[in-house]
Amino acid sequence: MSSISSLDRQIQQLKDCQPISEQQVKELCLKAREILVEEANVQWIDSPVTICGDIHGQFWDLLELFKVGGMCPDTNYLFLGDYVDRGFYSVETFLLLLALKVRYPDRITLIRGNHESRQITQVYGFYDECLRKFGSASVWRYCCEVFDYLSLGAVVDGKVFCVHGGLSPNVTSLDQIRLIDRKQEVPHDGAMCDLLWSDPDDIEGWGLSPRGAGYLFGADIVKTFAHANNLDLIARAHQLVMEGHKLMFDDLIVTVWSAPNYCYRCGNVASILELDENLNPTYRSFDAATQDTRGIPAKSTALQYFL
Amino acid sequence: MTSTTTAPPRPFDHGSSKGIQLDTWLLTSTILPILNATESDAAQAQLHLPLPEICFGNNTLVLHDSATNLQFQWNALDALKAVGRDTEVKVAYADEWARGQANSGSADVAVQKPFDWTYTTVHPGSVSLSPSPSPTSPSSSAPTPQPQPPQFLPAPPTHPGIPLHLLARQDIPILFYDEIPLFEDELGDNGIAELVVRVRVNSTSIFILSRFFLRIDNVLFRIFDVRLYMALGSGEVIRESKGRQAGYEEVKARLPFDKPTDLTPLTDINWVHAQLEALATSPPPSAFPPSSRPSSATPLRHPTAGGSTGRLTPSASGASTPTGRTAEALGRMDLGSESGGESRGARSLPKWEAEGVKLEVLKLPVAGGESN
Repeated sequence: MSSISSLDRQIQQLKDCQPISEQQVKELCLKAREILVEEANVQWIDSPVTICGDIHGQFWDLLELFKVGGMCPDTNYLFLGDYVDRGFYSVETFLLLLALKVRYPDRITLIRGNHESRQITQVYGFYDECLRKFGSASVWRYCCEVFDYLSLGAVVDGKVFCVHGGLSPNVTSLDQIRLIDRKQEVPHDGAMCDLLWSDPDDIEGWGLSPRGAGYLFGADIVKTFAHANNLDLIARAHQLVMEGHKLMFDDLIVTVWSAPNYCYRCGNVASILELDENLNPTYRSFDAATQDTRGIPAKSTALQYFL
Repeated sequence: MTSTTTAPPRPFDHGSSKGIQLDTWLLTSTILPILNATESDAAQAQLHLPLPEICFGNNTLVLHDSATNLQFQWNALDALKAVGRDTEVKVAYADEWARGQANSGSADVAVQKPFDWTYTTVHPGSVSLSPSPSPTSPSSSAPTPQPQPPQFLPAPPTHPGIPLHLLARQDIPILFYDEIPLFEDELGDNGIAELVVRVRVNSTSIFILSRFFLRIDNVLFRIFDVRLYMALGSGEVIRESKGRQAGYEEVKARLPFDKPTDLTPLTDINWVHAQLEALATSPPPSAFPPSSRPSSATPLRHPTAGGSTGRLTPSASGASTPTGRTAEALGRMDLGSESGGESRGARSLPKWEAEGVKLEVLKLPVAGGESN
């Protein structure tokens, strides 16, 4: 019991945007791994559930999300990854979600985004933030070990497939995802990489990204995959959309984006997707929290003298 | 210098639009959210280009002169029109990725809609004649035939260029400053491509910097700067365009000695800019065949790997310093003439026509006896 009350205290502390101690992070991450290791690559979820897209360390906006969607455990949540990087509070954001996971394992599901990776977090902010807030890379390391255990996808009532990025030419059935050994850093290629990175596009069949790595997939691919796996909908995140969500391909795939005013300057709204017990969808949108300007460093007037 | 009838500068702020009236010049910056789905689809159809992930397609900077009707404008869609149809640049792990693809049985998947995914643009801003300051929507710019605006022409060799020494003086108050983001793309988390326009106005001049910045992790850095300067009463607008690129490793090798593993400076555009400038203007250890045209900017060409060994740098003898310019700055940008880049195992830097410096001047039409 004492561990639950201690966990509740940590959750409260994190909700106030106060990081917990390094030792507490270590224990939390250990417990999280024990839970996550039992989860499938494609985790089964029962409706009703609320599906959320990218958060990117926008902690105060995550609290807005909970205001709109209800708090966990009252609401059953599925987050599609990209908890960290870009925003100023990746530490508090990921640890709050992780603490909720440990406290209410059956009421919140966290799957992996392409930012839940050692390599990406070293470039896009999470690593630096850990170093700044804890003085060492230990917390970053504990979190990265958790990343390796996150599921690659989820399926709601067997009918809605949820994934961070999209489909893979190497995956025609959900069962093939179940064969992946996911407990590793996100590889540069292969099915696991594609699920976290690929994007739908207005093309036919599969396309290669002009960047030289990564796949794009067209409506026919989505239709075939949905039919073969008896799916009604594919829900994914990964791409910023001004309106917070975007349906494509005869409403067979949707992009859900949950970071309002992304990077504190895009002016976009965010949304979450609520699926009721009959899988009827409701998109709820929300704006950025006003408090979030607190974390943004003021610009020096010397910058005005640019040359 | 300026006319005695000159009214005092008048800054204004209407929320998403703000600016300043300086003599006959009205400067207006507009900052709005990114394009919505409808606007994105329209822009994409018009440009035949997937838009950058973050596209501030409604942001503009407009500089309009009521005396001559001359208008300068910056916006994302005009800039994106200058993005190429293709590029040879690939992300760092493209080769590795292609091998994996070949082994996975999906080797027949090809690029369906090629475009320059680095969004490299050398757009210098749009110049037009317009009776009133109008942030002309790029989609509706075609119909009405408009008179041809005066052209920017290469500056004479004696031209002193933009007086950066004056602009560097922090004792001269800035009456108006703004920073207008036009687009940004994170290149699928392989770096960043962004275009930002900044403007500042003091009581005697307007200075605008449009900067395209590109970082492709473990591949290259690229900057394209357009600086526009107008001093009241000078009768001219000066425009300097400068393209720089260097290999990622080459810039990384210049990280501070005391913190060689802290890569944070590589995301600091000002720091990278200083390194690219130093790499471009410092004489190389090895000689470079002199350009046939002494007044032309010489393109850089460096192999990316192996640090700076074998790096070829421009033949320009003098550095292009903040206060002055050299012959390097006078000519038009040349096509790269080298055929090298045969560094084994490493990807060489792609050819980029915009490397070098170009200085141009636009003479303002004499209107209403205002100019001296």
